[in-house]
Amino acid sequence: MADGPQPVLVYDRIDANRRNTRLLMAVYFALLLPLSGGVAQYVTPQSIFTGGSWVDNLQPVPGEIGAELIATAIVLLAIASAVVFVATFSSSSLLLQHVGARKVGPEEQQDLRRTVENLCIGAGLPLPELYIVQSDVANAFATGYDPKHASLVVTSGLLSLLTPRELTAVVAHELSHIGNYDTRLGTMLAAVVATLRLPWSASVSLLRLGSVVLADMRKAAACRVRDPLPLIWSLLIFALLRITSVISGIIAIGVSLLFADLPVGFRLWRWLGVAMPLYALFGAPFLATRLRRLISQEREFLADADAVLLTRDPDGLALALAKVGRAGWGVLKAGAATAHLYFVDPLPASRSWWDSLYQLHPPIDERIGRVATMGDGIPAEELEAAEQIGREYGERLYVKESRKELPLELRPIEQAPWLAEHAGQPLAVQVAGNDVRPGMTFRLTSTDTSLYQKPDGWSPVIERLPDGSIVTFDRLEENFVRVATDSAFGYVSRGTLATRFQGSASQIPRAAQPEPLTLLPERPYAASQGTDRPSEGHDAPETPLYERPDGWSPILAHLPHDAVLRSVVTEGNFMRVTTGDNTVGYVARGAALAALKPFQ
Amino acid sequence: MFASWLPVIIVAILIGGVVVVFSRYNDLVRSKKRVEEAWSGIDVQLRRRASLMPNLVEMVKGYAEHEREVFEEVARARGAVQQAGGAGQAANANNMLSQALLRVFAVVENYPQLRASENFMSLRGDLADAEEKIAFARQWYNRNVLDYNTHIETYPDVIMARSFNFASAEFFRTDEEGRAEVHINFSRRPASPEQPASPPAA
Repeated sequence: MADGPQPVLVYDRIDANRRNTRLLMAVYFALLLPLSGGVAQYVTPQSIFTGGSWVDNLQPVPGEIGAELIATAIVLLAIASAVVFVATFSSSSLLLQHVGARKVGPEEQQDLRRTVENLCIGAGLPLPELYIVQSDVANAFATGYDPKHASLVVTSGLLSLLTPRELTAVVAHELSHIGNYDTRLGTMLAAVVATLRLPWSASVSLLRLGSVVLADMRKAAACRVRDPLPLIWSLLIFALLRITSVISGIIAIGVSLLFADLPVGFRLWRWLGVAMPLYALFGAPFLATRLRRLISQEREFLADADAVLLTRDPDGLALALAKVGRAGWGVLKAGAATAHLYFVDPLPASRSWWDSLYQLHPPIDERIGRVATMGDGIPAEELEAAEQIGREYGERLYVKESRKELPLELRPIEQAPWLAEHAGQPLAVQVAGNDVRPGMTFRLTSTDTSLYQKPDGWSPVIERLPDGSIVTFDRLEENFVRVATDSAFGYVSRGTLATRFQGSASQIPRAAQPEPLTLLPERPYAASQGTDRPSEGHDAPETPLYERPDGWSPILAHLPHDAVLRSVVTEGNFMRVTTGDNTVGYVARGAALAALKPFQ
Repeated sequence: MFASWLPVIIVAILIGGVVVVFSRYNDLVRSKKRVEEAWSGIDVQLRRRASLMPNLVEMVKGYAEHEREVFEEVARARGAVQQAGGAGQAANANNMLSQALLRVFAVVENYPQLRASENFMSLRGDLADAEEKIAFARQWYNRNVLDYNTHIETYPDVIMARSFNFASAEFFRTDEEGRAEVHINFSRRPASPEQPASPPAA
């Protein structure tokens, strides 16, 4: 592999994968046999005939290996293979649904579509269905039973992080998975791993459920169960086990009638009785993960090589790997069982030995290293730059995600004495825990506070409030406080310092109270420099005239301070005005208000 | 004892041999079919590009009526692409068309208005896309040809290929020699009388 990709035809790969699939099934049965034996001990029909409750069923059956046990194991084996079979044929749509993928319409994402089209021609593949997952995490995966029913999924984060060249490389990698039938092998592998992990994940979610119940009710409410899936699984399994024990009970009667002199009761059984449950709980999930790692790492290297063969651009793939690998923070809604289907490992990369056991994709550095040797060699600084971009993207994502997790805690003012030394307290602190009702007034002590149109901080600034402005509290909204000034309505940051302003509006100092405007439709207005507002007494700035009442629509004109306006109608935070040359547009309520006066 | 088994063994070997021969033959046929399928992929893209030509010519004619020679070259190349029989001929014709296109674009350079017009830019984008698609189709075709040719030239399939007349497939080349050939062929070939069909007035 080190001397570059050899042009091996895709058909050979497909044949190799067919063999792999068969081998996988064989290994699966080998791993499953003792597992079903271990589980079978807990659900032999014996307890049904003795009339135990389902809790009793969880006790290992003491005594002899018998026809019941064998029968139960057979039934379990059949169920497990049926699960894998059904999952392999039907998993695509389930998986797409699970990650929240949305089909890309024929008119959207023309560049991506064109890239996929061209690469498909180069790989001799039919066009797969395109899906997008709305997620900032940069990743991609392919799924589908065969190339004719394949789907290609990219995240919106991937589209924003990568350049077209790098995106081409990622698409080529995923198309190679489709062409090599890795998607089928991968889905089957996912089902196999999920089945082998079943006893383990069922017990884990049972334990988790127990701890939630034990914890006090308030905490239990706060710590909602993040992923209900294992819980549903475990309930399902217990239902399944009940059915299994009934069916295998019936079969057992038949078996014992047929083989009445079955050589049972050998001594080995005592040891097996101990070993099998242990294997079912710990051995099988571990082996399943090793098996998956073995297979998926090889498939990843191969898909990388095929992608390079297709695009003839190893550097593009190396750059994409560097970026996505470094940015790869955050869990895409991927269960542990499907992690190997992705372009890079979707599970958080931590360096603990436990996690490295479960690492499915080859380390990114090794992948980059192999890809880099296929071309003329990529300059180290170019690769580093890409890694830096990826790292920064990942950090931004981390901040964004962790902010979601940690809601701001509101505390009454008495508990924050350190704030008293400021000339005023943050608005939010005063509001929270105190008896503040909408309509109460505050005097701002922060200098130059921005009044935003929306509670976000990047929406247009309606007005800049100078020190001493009086605002009326309306309500808290996320990180912002909705307030009304005498001329506008908007949001200030919750950290804005303010003091309670006791008194009626008539006591508001003159300087902070610009002349209220009565807006009369169809009356002409003009901007005039003679304004009472001290902060804007000097050169009145030009007022932008927007096309729509939002502040980011195109600016139609910059109105000079002596512009004549007619037909003023208030719309949200904007006023619809008609200028002298009959242009209709919007000006912010705050920005030009003080300068508008009835035209004589 | 052995003698009584002998006929059975011989028959078994014979049957086995026939099965092997059949499956090798089927493999060869499959491989050949793949080459044909990949070729049809190229063909579609070549025709697609050629079908963009009348539009282009019409558009440029509006500005540069006098460059008749260039337009004729495009028309000839387009005709050659449409009539090409095999991979080699098609590759030559396609190279011819590429060269004619280069000349058209050289003409366009003199007309900034045309160059900046929206129609021309979108057509140029379509042409670039078509060229990229041809390149990818070529890659796929050549990979299949390589596989097929390797098959029929290596033991044991070579015996089969010889006895059933499997001819080796032609690569689709776009190298410099190919271009040189175009010119020679071109000068010998009588000019195609076919004029590009005028596009619907747009």
